[in-house]
Amino acid sequence: MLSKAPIFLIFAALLLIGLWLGIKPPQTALESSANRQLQFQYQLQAGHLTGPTIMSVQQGDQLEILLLSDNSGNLHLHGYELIKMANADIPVQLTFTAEKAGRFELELHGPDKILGTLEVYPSP
Amino acid sequence: MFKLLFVLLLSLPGTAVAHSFAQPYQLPIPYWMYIYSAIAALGLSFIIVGWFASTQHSQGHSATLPFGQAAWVNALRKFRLVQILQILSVCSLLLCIVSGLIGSADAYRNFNMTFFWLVFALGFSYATAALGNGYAVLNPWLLLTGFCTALVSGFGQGRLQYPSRLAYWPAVVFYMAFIWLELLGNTRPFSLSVMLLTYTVLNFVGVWLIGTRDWFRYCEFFAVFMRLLAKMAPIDYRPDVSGEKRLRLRWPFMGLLDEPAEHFSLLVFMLFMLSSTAFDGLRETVVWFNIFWRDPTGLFTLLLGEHPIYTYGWSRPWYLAYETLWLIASPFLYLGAYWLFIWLGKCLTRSPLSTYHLGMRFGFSLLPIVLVYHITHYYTLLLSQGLKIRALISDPFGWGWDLFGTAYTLRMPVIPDMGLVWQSQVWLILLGHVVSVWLAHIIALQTFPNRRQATLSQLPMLLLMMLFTAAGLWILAQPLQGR
Repeated sequence: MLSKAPIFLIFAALLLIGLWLGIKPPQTALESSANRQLQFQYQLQAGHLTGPTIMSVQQGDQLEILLLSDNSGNLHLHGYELIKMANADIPVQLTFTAEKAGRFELELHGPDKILGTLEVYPSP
Repeated sequence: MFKLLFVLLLSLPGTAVAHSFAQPYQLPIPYWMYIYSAIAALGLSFIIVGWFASTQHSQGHSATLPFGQAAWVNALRKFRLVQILQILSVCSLLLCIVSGLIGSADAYRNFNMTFFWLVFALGFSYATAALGNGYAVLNPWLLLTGFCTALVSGFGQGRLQYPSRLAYWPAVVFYMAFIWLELLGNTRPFSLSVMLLTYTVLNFVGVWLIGTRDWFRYCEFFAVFMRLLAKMAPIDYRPDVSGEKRLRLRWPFMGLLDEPAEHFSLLVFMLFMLSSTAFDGLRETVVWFNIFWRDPTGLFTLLLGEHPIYTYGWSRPWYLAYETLWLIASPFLYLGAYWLFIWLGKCLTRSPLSTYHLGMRFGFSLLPIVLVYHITHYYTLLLSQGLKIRALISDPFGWGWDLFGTAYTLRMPVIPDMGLVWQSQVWLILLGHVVSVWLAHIIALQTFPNRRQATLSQLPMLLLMMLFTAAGLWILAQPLQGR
């Protein structure tokens, strides 16, 4: 039993490595350089929300998120823990670099409304 | 009955689909990783089949090493570690209840949400799978009712004989209610406290009615849950032949081979552990959202009278009811698939054993898949929010206290590198799959009269496990809803 174990283990290792090399896509050059400057706008008026459901960006992008709401509250980007007070009918802006990859909700506390989700993809 | 259920669901206040506490920060796994994992799982499964088909196997997996009398264990007993932990357990429950009732309404600033949902429900569960069934001695409800039994003579003896036909069904129902509250109940600190208070009262009533032994064996669902997880741990805590409790070391996951599932309801409980995690992942995806709100089949348009997207304002409670029905149905869908493949194995081998008997024997072999899927889905929450318990201990009510000088530590969530998260998800799922296939083969060798029949029986099981693993991976790879 023991003498066959290394054979099966080697076979398993070859399978895993071979599959990885065969399936993993090659790295391609970025179409545009990292550190793009992107802006996203949200409006919340009489309970009606406009703005992107998902903000899809790359790690390293410079982001501006603007909100104009008829409700006051705290604009909170979870995960990045960026919080800014939003006064009614006065635009508020979050400016930051998308350093952390992941999925982060943008919420307006007060009305407790999820405005959208920021998806930061790792740099290739 | 069906209409009554809908009316009840619609009448529950504050149960609209809403932002829940502590969303995971991970992105869907890249599609190529999903393909890699699925093919690797299939390939490794066949290697395991080949291994079992070509080699003789001993039954040495049941070997255990007692260590209950080791010097370091005796030293811990002298420090009364168990008693200290028991006091902490009861105090934690009481603090969870009190902090929700009088503390901050902000879920992130109140002790109870992070402690209960993350430290206990996730962290303690994973610790149980690694270190054994500590919950058997640290269960706060067991301790509280035990205290009551010590004060009130005969309290824990029970007044009714527990009907054996009920088996683990009460635990299944309580577990479903718990998961519903977790996923769809939009719990907040106050409602969590009410929930814990209600469950505490339920435990007292249950113990008074049917006695401590039967209540905590069949009905208290955390006890059932932790007992199942502990079967995978390398540390076993159980009485030996002399009746005294003993600590033993064993190979990880080998506890799953000790005995078959005792009752059909326990199998359903275990499958709900898997299906509820899959459901949680699925309901966050664009695919799930579109099935109802975009209604490609036209079915919901027919039921609601107009296209669902135009009914968003008033039909959200119906969406909640729809999700609730799928949550309750989910373990039975998994059960249907499981039973079908068990039956196929019986047919292939022409075994005289009943499908039921075979189903009970192989049930626990799915637990490694259950565990790894749960971990891959939730473990990052322990890092991003669970670690904040260090700060919350100093300010449990969110009043600006700093009792232990830690209130301002770990304010930022720990978000691991996304590549690391994806890799860990893939390799954990592969590990769980391989262990499940391996265990199923060992059970097959114990069940069938010869190696040929045992191997034949595993071909449908292999397909079933591939189905469960691939489904889990597919869910992890799906694009997610935005809001």
